[in-house]
Amino acid sequence: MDLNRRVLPERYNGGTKPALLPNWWQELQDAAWAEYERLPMPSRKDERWRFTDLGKLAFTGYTAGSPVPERSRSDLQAFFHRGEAPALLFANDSLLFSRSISPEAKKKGVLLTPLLEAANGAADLLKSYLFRERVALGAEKLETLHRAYATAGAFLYVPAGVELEQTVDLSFWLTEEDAATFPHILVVLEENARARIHLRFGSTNPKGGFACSVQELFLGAGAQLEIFTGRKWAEGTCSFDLASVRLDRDANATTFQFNQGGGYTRTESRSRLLGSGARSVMLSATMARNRQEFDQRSFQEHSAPNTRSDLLYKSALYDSSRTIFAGMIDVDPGAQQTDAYQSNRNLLLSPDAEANALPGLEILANDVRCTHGATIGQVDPEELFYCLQRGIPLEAAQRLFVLGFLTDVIDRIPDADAKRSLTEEIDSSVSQPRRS
Amino acid sequence: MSLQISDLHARIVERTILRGISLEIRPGETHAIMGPNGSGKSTLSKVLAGHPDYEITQGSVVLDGVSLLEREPDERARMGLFLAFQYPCEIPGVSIANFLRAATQARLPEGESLSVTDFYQKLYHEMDALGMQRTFSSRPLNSGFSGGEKKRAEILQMAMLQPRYAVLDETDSGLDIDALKVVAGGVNRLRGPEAGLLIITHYQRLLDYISPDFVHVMVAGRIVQSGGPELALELEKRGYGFLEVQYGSSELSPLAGAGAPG
Repeated sequence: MDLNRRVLPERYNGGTKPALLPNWWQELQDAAWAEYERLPMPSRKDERWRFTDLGKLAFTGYTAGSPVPERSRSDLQAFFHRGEAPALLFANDSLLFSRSISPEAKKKGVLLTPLLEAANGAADLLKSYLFRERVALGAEKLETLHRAYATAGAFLYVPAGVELEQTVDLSFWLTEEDAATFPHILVVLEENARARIHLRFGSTNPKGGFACSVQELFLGAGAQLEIFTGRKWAEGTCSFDLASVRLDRDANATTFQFNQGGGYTRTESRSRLLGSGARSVMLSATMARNRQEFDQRSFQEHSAPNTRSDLLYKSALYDSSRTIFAGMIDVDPGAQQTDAYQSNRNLLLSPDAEANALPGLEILANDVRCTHGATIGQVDPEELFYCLQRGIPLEAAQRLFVLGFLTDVIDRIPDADAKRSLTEEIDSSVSQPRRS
Repeated sequence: MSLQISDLHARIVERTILRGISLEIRPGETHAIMGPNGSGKSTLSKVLAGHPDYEITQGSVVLDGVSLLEREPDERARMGLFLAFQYPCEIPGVSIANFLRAATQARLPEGESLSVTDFYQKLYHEMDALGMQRTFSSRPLNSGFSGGEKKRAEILQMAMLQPRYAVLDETDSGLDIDALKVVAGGVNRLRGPEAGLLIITHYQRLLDYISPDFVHVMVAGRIVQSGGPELALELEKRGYGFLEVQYGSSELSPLAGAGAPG
């Protein structure tokens, strides 16, 4: 990695405010850097990198903290001002725009702040959660690299019993093909707190870039979180998004990811069901095109009795794209009455596309219900002929099949607004009205 | 102006099914093709629509002056050819309304986009006229449909797409009398000076509701008799047996066996 150590964006917060990294954080970065140098590079010999095209991983030639050109800034400003929700927008790890939470929410003690501000204003609270979780589904070296660099990011804290009604919008952008970004999303919901987050990763440049983000989501007893992640990096971007959600008793998390774009995209998602009655729903819809590769790894960790997890990952593959799904349901001896489900389904729209599925179970309790399965299928030629006979050209027919294929996963998004905006986004991204 | 089929021969793998079909359907005319099982009726409909499994070995099909056989199935459809399938496919997760929107959009000039309001207005108008519940259009196309529902969905699509030439492949098979009336009602609504219809059926029953102008009898890949509606009644009375003895049946015909030369 050609990155300078311990980078602080020069134009933090629009260039108006110098950012200070406290000593404890600097020490954390130093330790992470030493660990990063010690950890081995990803290898095909490691089961957790099985099927990955390691040739697509590019760690060199990027600069952290690249300045944001004026043009990208104004594009992002226009994007930002279309929204009304409380929001933070970062580009190349600089905070460009923010919109605060409502005064009522503030009064109830809700905190939405850039990490660097929290480090100064709410240091004790931040320190007790930041970098506490390890996703560790293979990308430990990247996770460590993230620790060595991450300064950009959001801290959302919702006190016990408080429901944050407004959806929080967080977005992280790359503006240059040689830029690197290390977003960190830290969410702490205390007992019975509720929040909903819309997280977006994207580029204003047409190609390239490097992103390595970490999500640490802490749910106290009875807390409820919905987090919707949309990834649309520029073609050729190498990205890692490593997420861990930690659920106490009766907590309930729904994570939904919608993936498109990029070059190599690896997602690691760990659900830690630590308290009885906890439930995690893990959903993903991917549209892979060109030579894109989506490498998704998941872990459903049942450590307490009466916990439920439900994973459904679906991918539609065009062109010469590739997907990898490797999932594991892990049930501890004490986690009786676990109910776990894991399903990965792939629709191949091109003979050159390749889907790899590795579902897995490791069950050490004896009174559980665990099911898993994976399918890889193509469009039925009779169904295609039927569409063509109605005058629907091949590409539009494929679009219908993809929409139809993704319907059941989209239908499971609980929030109606998020569902509608996703449907529109999928619709526009599969729409290429062209006559044959 | 017509759908003109001339000396059409077609085979699937090495098995010849159509052995010289000639038939002209003009707008405003309704033709019925009857015939025993295995005579090639369904093959004719699929060959016209451009199903990739069939190979045309001889003959031509011309739609309003334009040769059809070199065209892709979707182009043929946009030229005005509609096929109501005998066994309509399930399109998982795609509602009837969304499916029809895509089909309607495909018929607009390039760069023009469909008015959603106009579309739904027309859809509901057609559904009302066919006596269908509006909620029907939000169900995934043919998914879990009964036989009757599938055929109703075919008729609704035909009504929405207003084809110039419609081929109905045994749309009456497996229908109860209520569904049969819906199907017949839909067909009769499409009839008019602008539309030519080809109704393929095994039984005379549908023809009680849709009275054809011409009836053709197909046996072993050929049209062996043509006449008016009275021919259908005669077939109903006498069955196909006497024609199969005269012209060969799929079982009897040496050409029907696998590997027979075209």
